[in-house]
Amino acid sequence: MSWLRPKLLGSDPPARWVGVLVAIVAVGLITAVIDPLRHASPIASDSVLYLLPVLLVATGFGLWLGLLTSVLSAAAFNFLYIPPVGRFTIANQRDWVGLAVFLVAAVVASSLADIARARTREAELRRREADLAAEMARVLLGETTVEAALGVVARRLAETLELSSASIELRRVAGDDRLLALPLEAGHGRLATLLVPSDADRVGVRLRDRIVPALEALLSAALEREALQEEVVETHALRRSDEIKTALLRSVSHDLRTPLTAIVTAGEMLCAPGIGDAERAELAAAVSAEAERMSDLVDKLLDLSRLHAGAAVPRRDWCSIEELIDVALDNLRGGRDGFVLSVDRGLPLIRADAVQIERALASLLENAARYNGGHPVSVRARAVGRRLAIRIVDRGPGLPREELERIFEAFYQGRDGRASHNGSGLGLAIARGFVAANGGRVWAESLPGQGSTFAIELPLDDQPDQSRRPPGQVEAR
Amino acid sequence: MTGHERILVCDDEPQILRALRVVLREAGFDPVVTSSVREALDVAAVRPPDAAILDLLLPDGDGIQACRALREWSAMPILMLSAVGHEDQKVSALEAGADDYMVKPFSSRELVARLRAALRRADPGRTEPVITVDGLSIDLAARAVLRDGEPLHLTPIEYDLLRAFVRNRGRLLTHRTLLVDVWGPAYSEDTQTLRTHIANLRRKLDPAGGSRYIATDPGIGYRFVQ
Repeated sequence: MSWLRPKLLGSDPPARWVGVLVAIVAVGLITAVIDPLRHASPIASDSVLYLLPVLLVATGFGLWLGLLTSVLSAAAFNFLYIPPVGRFTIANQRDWVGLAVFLVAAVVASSLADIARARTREAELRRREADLAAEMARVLLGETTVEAALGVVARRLAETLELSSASIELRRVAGDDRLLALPLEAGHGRLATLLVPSDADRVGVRLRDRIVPALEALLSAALEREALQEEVVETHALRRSDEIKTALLRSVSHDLRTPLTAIVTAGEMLCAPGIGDAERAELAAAVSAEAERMSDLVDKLLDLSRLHAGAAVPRRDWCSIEELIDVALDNLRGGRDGFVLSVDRGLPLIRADAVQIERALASLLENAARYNGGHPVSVRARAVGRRLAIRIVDRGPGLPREELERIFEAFYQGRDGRASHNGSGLGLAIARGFVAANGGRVWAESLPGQGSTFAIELPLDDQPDQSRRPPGQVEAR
Repeated sequence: MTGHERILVCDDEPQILRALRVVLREAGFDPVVTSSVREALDVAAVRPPDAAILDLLLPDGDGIQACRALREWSAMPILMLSAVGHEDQKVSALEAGADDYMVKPFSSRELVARLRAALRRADPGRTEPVITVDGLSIDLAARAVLRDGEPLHLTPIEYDLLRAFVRNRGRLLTHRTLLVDVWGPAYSEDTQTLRTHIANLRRKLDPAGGSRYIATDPGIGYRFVQ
């Protein structure tokens, strides 16, 4: 009787008065049906028909209403069909036996129907609990963090148990008048606390015996998995930092030794008696140039180590990107020729560390100048929504897709040996680090053969408070 | 400048002292080298120098202390030497009265140029009611500014800023110094206002924009060209 399931076998028993009504209507109906049949068959055998309403009511509304229907049927049959008709007395001894047999059959049928009903209901509940366990497993093991999954799990648990609310806290919580606190424990101690309304006692057995153990097992697995994941991330970071250190050593030994060798050699030769003035000047120039190159590299190594150590805490103040681009261009070794500037007027100020942003811009501009392919590099800055967007566009050789991200790694040497262009392989990593420290991001876009674009985005949050600003005009003194 | 100005140098690195002595002597100065705050102050008290070059970090204190002590009794130009990255200390040194700073490693040519500029500013015989710089002429007495002979219309704030700059030509002025000088002590932290007015002033001085007259020192302040 699957059609009965949604309504009659639902978790809430249907209202009792509905059962009584169904019993009366069904008994009346059967009584009316028996009337035409009594001429065709012995009246005693027609009593079997009353088992139909008994089964229906017992299945749908439980044992007690089933018994009531049995009694009601016996009374109606007796009153209307067992002689003397119209009275509750029975004349014939045989009819007594017939009615008694019917009653016994009806009571047994009621009991059996009720047991079936209870089993179906139990099966339904188990199915839902199984669904809940599956759902909890999916959510707990699927979400990125256990913390994020707990809300969903608690909501599903409340739905399944038909509780007004439920929550799971990853700590020890004490219950009170309104809340029941169920500890969730695993082998090594308490994992969390499940909080349900205190009226959840009615589902207490299901909760304690079946749902809580499942939840404990899942939660323990999920927490363990999260811990393992963190360890993996940490291990990965350690390995990365190890790689960086190795690369750093390689870079220091090569990139610092080269200028040092030049300086030492040139310095010694300056005292050599046999060299002329022109040669002396040349050697002196080499010492300065190599020392400058080394100083530049040392600055970059310092910046990078500060970024890696998390020591590059920005000193934030209002600064103008126009000014910073200007300073970065002025400080470029190759000069500012070869750059075409297009900066919107009256750009909003950014709240950032001016020195760090200038270093980042200088690195990106230096990089663009190195790969400009002999064409001018365009530098554009404008406000886009709540962000400041700066785009440095060169028309050089461009970058293959797989290098777009890798070039921001410290010491990355391009496939085509880009590092041979005199770059340290540090500038882009420093640029990204400083911009990120100031809440922005840097990325590269490129179509090979059509140049590349380095884009910087910086947040334009909370603009200066206009009301607090000093007067723009003062009396001439 | 008379030539052979006495320059007090204080640094604890013997190699840097040795190099500076050569650089300054070659440039026509008379260097006096010291390697601690105490020694520097003693030497300065016995025979006052015409200018001082102080390292920010010294064995018995810092250059800022020494700078403050010298400023107690002297208006001589003071240049600070610092390593990369110590922006806070640079600002402190400038606000303690230093005229300028140089980041190590610095070029000797630039050091000499900055020192000469500072000495020129400090020259007591210098009275210039009209200052002319690269096509720009500023008449402090008449409060008039001309660019290529054409009068420029500046707001009172812009004029005050420009006056603060030209009175300290070549000197690095911190944001706070400019704010206090032009707006007053109550506004010493309003860097955003300063940026806006500097941008406007720059545009009026040079319609092409840019830093032709006023250079930016990120995170520290501004400097007017010599």
